[in-house]
Amino acid sequence: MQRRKFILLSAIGGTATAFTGLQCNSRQPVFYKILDKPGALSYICDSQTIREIGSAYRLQKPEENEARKLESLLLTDSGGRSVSSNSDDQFVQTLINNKIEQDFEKANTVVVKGWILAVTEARQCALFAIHNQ
Amino acid sequence: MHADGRFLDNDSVIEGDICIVGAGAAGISMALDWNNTRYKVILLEGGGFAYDPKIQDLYAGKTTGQPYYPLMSARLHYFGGTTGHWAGFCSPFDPIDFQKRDWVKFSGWPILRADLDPYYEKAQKKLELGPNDYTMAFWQKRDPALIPLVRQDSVIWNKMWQFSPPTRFGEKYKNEIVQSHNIHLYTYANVVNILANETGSAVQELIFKNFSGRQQRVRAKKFILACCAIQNARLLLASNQQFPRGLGNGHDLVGRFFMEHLEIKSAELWLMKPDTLKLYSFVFGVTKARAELAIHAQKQEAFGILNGTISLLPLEMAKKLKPAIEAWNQQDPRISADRFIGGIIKVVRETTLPVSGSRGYQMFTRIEQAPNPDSRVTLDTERDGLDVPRASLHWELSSLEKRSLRKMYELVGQEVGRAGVGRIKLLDYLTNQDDQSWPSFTGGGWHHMGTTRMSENPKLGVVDADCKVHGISNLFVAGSSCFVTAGAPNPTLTLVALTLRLSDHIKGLMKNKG
Repeated sequence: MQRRKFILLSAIGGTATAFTGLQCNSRQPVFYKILDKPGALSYICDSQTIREIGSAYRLQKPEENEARKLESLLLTDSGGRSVSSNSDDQFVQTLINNKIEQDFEKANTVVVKGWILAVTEARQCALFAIHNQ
Repeated sequence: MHADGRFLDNDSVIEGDICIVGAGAAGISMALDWNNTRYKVILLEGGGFAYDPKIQDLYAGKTTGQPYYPLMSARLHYFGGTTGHWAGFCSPFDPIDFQKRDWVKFSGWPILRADLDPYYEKAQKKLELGPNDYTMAFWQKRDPALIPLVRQDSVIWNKMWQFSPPTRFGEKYKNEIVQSHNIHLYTYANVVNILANETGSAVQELIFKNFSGRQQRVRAKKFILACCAIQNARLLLASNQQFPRGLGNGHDLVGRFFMEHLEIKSAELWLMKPDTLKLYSFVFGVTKARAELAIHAQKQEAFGILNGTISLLPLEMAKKLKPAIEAWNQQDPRISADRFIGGIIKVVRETTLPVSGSRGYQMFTRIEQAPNPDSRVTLDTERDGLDVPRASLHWELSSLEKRSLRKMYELVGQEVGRAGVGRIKLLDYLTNQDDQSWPSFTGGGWHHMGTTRMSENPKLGVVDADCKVHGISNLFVAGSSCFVTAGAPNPTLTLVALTLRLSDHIKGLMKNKG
């Protein structure tokens, strides 16, 4: 059911269009507030640790060290399709959770400050670090 | 029967059918296997029935390379050997441990796990272990609360361990040995020289000494060295009056390939919710079996890594424990053991764990060391109180151990994350994959292996598949010095099994007068 909510955008033109309207905070869809909250990691680490992980990831991956880039990566599913701006929180949360599970499944992991993390949750930490500098 | 070597007439000759040198787990297991037979078994033990500092000092030696425990403290030199203070951890080697692995140089035993299976069954009994079943399902039937951290799949499996009481061979089997009519135990009988015939093709006699100033000769049809990996090598190397390189050392292999298990804290497991993880817990004297996390053979091959296992200990305890390499730092094994074991007991007593279980666990690795010819035992220039050159150990690791360690945790971290039960945090020394160094808390398991390794090719091994020294018709080696690779588990169960296999082989030879 949730997959129907995706607008199947081409990886080239569509993605850019979808995020054009999201650059300004005042116009961001409501689900953006969950992007910088690594759910599972929040059970284990305090916010300071998550910020440190995020800062370290930004140094490890300078090419991703930008909020819009991270948001774009987080809001793209494994098929390269981006989330519609009118998606709801639950849908996006499920997407992120699935991405994390798939990351672990496909060994798409990264070691940041010793933590073995799904790349998706490491990006969430990085976004958190940017938002809480 | 028992005789104290200190009170024998000087230069007397003792004769028997087989002569076993060393009365530890291997030597006693073999001797008992010959009890109540028609054969006269001579069992030589360098020490007495209790700790003797002067005898223990014969095990002192130098160490270089990777920091190691004082050699004098790493083995016990009296009847029963190091079972006098071992902890009793047992698990069989895996089939992959015996195989030739392209990614592990010098791997590949000339025997298979299946060759040892019947002897594992017998070894279980000698070590007073439970049923010879190491499947998780078997133990889960007995206790359904033994729940795995993550489901077993193609990456991780739960390797079961059993715990010996631990059997103190010196106490458990003393009466049986002493009361035997055909086993002749000599204490204070330190073998200082092995004499061969002119061509070196057969051993003629052994010389043993003690601090009484007298020496004795032992003659037998078959001789079996069962003195532990360092001392077996030392004795062969020191028996160099006829052959300058020592006995059985025509290809300069004796003493090489010394292996230990690397035992080291490596990561932290943080769970989403508290759990006692009963399957992985261990209470000394109570727990009969537990699991450690292991990596499937196919994944070891796919990633070119060594075999190892991971144990879990609540962080509330683990953070208070001193690393073994720091606690076990005294020459006197009694003091080292007191400090190490006493430290553990103190922490256990002083720590109250949450009833619902812990959130954080230390992940502790035990991993095989890759066979390495430069990791070796040689003779030192210094001599001991019986005028035998002391052992010198150069313990050397390779980059494969560290790469394997890191990859193991990556794989387990991915599985733990996938299962959604928690996350793993590597300790600092594993975070940089280019860093080949080892931290100061790197330790070993007091497991000495490999110094008379087994191979059908005399250029690659000191003993053959039957543990006979290449080129010497009546000299055999029992114990972990014959191991080709170290496996993941502690060696005692396997070394007893291998010894019982050797025992059967020699019985066959004796029967056929071979």
